[in-house]
Parts: sequence; structure tokens; C-alpha cells
Amino acid sequence: MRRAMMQKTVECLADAAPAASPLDGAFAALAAYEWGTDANAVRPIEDAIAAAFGNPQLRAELETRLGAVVKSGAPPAGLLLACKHLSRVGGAGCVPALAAVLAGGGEAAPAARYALERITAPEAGQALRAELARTPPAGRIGIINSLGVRREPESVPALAACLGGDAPEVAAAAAAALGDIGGEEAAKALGAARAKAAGDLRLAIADALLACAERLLAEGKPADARALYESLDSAGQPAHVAEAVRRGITRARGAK
Amino acid sequence: MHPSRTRCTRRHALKLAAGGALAMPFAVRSSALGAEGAAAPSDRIGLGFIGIGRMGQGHLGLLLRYPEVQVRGVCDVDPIRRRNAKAAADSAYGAGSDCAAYNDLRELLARGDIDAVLIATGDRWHVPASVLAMKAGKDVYCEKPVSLTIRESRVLREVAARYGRVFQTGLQQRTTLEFRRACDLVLRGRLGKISHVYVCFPGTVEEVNLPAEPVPEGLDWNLWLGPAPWRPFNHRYHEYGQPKNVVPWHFCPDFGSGNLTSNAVHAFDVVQWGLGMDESGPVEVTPPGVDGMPSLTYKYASGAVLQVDWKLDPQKHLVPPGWDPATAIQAFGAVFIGEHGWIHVGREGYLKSHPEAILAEDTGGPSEGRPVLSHHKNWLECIRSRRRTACDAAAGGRSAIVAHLGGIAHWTRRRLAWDPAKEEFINDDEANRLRSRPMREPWRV
Repeated sequence: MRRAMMQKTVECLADAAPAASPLDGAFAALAAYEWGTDANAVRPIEDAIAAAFGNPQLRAELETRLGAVVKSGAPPAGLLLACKHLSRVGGAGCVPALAAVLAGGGEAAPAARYALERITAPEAGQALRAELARTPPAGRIGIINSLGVRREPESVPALAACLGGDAPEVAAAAAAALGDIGGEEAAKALGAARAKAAGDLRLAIADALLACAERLLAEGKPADARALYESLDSAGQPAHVAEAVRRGITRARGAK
Repeated sequence: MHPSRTRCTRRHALKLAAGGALAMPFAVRSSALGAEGAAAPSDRIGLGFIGIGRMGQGHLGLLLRYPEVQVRGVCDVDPIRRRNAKAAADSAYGAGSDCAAYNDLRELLARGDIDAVLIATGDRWHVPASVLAMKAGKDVYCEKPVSLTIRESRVLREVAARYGRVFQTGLQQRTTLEFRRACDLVLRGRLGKISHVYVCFPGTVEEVNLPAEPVPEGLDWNLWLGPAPWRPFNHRYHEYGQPKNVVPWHFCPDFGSGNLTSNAVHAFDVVQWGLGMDESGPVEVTPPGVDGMPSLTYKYASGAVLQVDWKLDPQKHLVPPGWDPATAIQAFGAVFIGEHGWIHVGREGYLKSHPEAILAEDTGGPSEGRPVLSHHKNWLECIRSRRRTACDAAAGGRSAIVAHLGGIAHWTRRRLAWDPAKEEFINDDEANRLRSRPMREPWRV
């Protein structure tokens, strides 16, 4: 009897995993993180992220483990926090996992978009543009807004295509994103869309064109800026818009 | 001329001014004032209030006393708060009240008879609401910090400049006599080269995760969150109905950065002002405990060091001659230390120096012999004159950036080099990512 018990103990010890590190415990907690779970349970991940600066190996390990949480079907709170961490330390490696969550739509998708918006690797922008092409207009605004913040010239054609749809809110978001990106192609698309737009959308496009002109001025291209401002100088605009245009023309004339 | 064309209401004149038809600033005609000094309703500045918690209620109570304004709209996602606010306006104006209550700020902003809005929401809404308002042609007073992120400060500055909107940041030290006097003296070199500045309210926030609770009846939790990532309601984020606290949500990093953005930002604004940095900022920030720094520490290109702590500890800080180590740093104030002495300024008239003779000097600066304006009065006068306010979008936004830099240093736990002209961290991709926060759709700035 005693011999059998000892044998059982030995088997149990042999089966036992090595003692988990605080970081292992935190990742396990993150994968099961619900609203209301003690945030201290996942705090070691924040410590590791801070320690990963200048340590590419640790950073890559964190990216892999956070990506695994994203793929694991973690609860919404866990997914959101994993994506928040990836938005800081993620690179091209975690983009496929995030893109899959974004493509899945539903309540999980915004968290993936938040991470993709901040990840500086060009793959993140490509993933957002690919999803924009697949997404029906009603779900596009968040993706469009993220592309605007990223300011990649490669996004201009996809955003320009959103200016002409039937949903004015989507077109207004696309206009704002094009205004954020700026440049000749963005301005050209905005100018063409403004000619056909009315009401609030026309104002949104004018605002984006004003932003483009300001960027041209900042880049030392006053003649281009002035041409853009003058294209906006039309009757029937709200007073503050008309004044913005006039002020811009004056600045462009005075700029060297 | 047709009589109707001679009638120039304040609203009409404001629109003309905004449209550039008036080259000179204008004032409300004295003939428009009634016997009690109250402007005719059509000549009053139409005001809207967005966010009516503790701060919003305070602003509302004060602005209802101004005869030159008419509060025409109040907006809050909490039905009790907006009902109370409308009742306050109706009580103040009696039969002359035309104040409507709104849940959605976009409905309030669509009103053509509202010229300006006072925004006292949580930080997450400050720039989105301000930008919507300015793009709708409204002037804005926005509570501090005016932004939740560095990117938002830039966008706010650009939109205010684009549309020529009058913007006042709720950093009221700028219109307070003792602060004006202290900053005049520092700016005019009475202390010589500034080596150190101390302010209080250190500390930022970490991830929090409160459990879901039922959303109180009528509270629009979706709109309360607005651009912030979705999370379930909990009463600690929002005190339903009459609020007990000023910024109950500020412990949650999705909504604020704790002391730095809620309190220290007042002092950062004084520092930026006194150091002449309204168009710039620090060049380095180090969190406490890193590289031997005892406190959150900023450096300016001039060499001035700014530290955030409660007291000057001889073991940790430069304690200048004449300073009593038992002295607490004044809340919302600052201690400027230079080659020739120090000045310690705080609210409610607190102003001390070493040597004392520094304060006896007449600087000839803007505070000398001039009446002290209220921050609201300054805003209202600038709405009429179209001049810059005491703390406009650019200055207020840059003071908020100082707070955001501190938050990012805390979160990254390392010394960060900052380029205030480009508004980017130098050689630090991760820190640069933290300059903005993704927003829940459909919100954007």
C-alpha cells in the first residue's frame, strides 16, 4: 500500500509543469481576462513591455505571445488589452492575427483596428486597406479613420473611392482621412468630389481641402496652396468657411 | 437705407466679423443694453453647454449671471444633469428662457442661434467636441486638459487657426493677478536665468478593470464613452445624477492620466507661460526612479529643470536659500528658482519671493495697474473683439502636451527625448505611437 502511494506521488511530480513565471501567469490571466478581473493579474505584461525597449528578442517574444492571445478567442476585455499592448510593441509579425480578428467583424473587430492603426509596419496599413475593400459601407468608418491617422499615401486611391458612395457619413470620413494625408492626388480626388457634393458633405470636403492647403503651405509650396484656396473661394459658404478661405489666400500670397 | 439694414444685432455683427466683412473689432452697442444693463436677447451671445458635471455646473452658474449672454442649450448624456441644468437656466431667465436640453452634442451644435459653447465633459470628449463645434462656426471654452493626446493638441490648434475661432482653455491662472505678476517677473528676468521649477500633483494611472453594472435609467453610456474604447458601465466612472466629485473617471487611463492631466496641467501652464514656452515645450522627460531622478523631471532647452513633487526635499531637490523645507508647493502653482532668488505663486493671492524685494518691483508688465479679468469675461470679450484669449488653443494644447509627455514617460518607464517643434519623440517608435489614441467609430478628429 505504502509502495503504491509513493509511486503515485512520483508520477504526479513527473507530470507537474515547472513553476510558472509571473509573466506566464499574466499571459494565462490575459487569455481569460473578463471585465472585472483584477488588473494586477496581468500587470507583469506591462513590466515586460517596459523592459523590452532595446531588447528585440524580448519584444519579439511578447509580440508572439500577445498574438497568441488574440488568436485564442480571449474574452472582450482580454482581447482589448492584448491589442492595446500590441499597439505598442507589435510589428509585422502580429498583423495576420489582428487582420483575422478585424475580418471577423462584430464586437471584437474594433480592438484589432486600434492595434493596426498604431503599428508602424507597412503591413498594418495593407491589412486595413484590404479590409476596407471587403467591408460593406456601413462598417467602413473606423477603418477609414485609422487610415487617415496613419497618413500613408498608398491609402489615397482606396479612400478616394469611398468619396462617391451612397453613404454621406462614409464619404465625409474618407474626405477627412484624405485631408489628413494631403498631397496632390488626395487634393485632386477631393476637388472632384466637392463639385458633386452638397450640404454637410460639401463642408467636410472643403475642410479636408483646407487641411491639404495648410500642409502645402507648411511644405513651402505657397503657389500650390494658393491655387487650392482659390478653388474653394465660392459664394454661399458659411461665414467661418469663407473667412478660412480668404485667410488662407492671404497667407499663401504672403508666403515665400 | 432701409431701416432693417441699419439694425445690426450682435449676432449679425459676429457673423460679419467671422466672414471678414468687419476689419475692426466691434463692441456691442451701448444702446442695446437695457436699463438694468441686460443686453437685448438678439444681441446676447448665445451659449451652449456640453457636459454638466461638477465643473459644468459651476460654469453654468457663473455664466447665467452675465447679462450679455443667453444660455440657449444644455447637453449631457445624464438625464438628471441636463434636466437640472435646463431648470437652472429657466429659473435665471424666467419667461425669457429659450434653453433646450440635449442628449447628443451634435443636435446642440446644429442650432444657428448658439454662437459659442462651453465644453466641460470628460477629457476623452474635449477635442472631438471642440473640433465639431469650431467646424460648425462656434467659439469654444474648453475645460483643461484640452486634449487627451499629443495629436489631439495639434489638431485642436490647427482647426482653431483654420476657422479663426475664439478658444479659451480652462486654465484660469492666466487671468489671475498673482500669476500674471509672477510670470511677468520671471519673463522679464528678475530672477535671472531659471535653473529649476517645481510644481505639485505627481502621479499617473495604470490599467483598471471594473466589473459591469447596470446602466442607470436614461444614461446614454454609448455616448458617454464616445471616442473611448468600449467598456461596461460602472458607477465609479460616472456618478449618476448629481456628481460628488470633479473628475471621478480620471483614474482610468482610457479617460485621463490622473493627477498629471487633471491637476498638474494647471501648473504646467504656469511654467510654460513663465518660461516663455507657449510655442514650444520641454526637450526631455524622465519618470521618477529612472536614471536617478527622484521625481518626474522635465528639461527645457534653456537648461531649466521642471520637477513634479509635493515638497522640496533637501535629499532629492535643489532647495534654494530662504526656502523653508516644510513649505508645500502650492496646488496649481509653481516655484521658479533663478540666479537671483525664487518666486512661489499659488491660488487665492499666494505670492512669495526670496529676496522679498523682488515682489516690490514694478515690472511695468501687463499685470501692473490693470484690473483682473475673470476667465469667462476674457472669453466673452474676445468673442466680441475676435482677439486671442488669455489661454488659446495653441497655448492650452501645449500645456496639455507637457502632461501627456509625463504620462508617456511613466508608461514607457524611460527617459524620452522630445522635439517640441516636430512634436515627436526622438528615436523612439514605441513612444511615438503613444502620441495618439485610436478612437471608437464614428468619432475622429
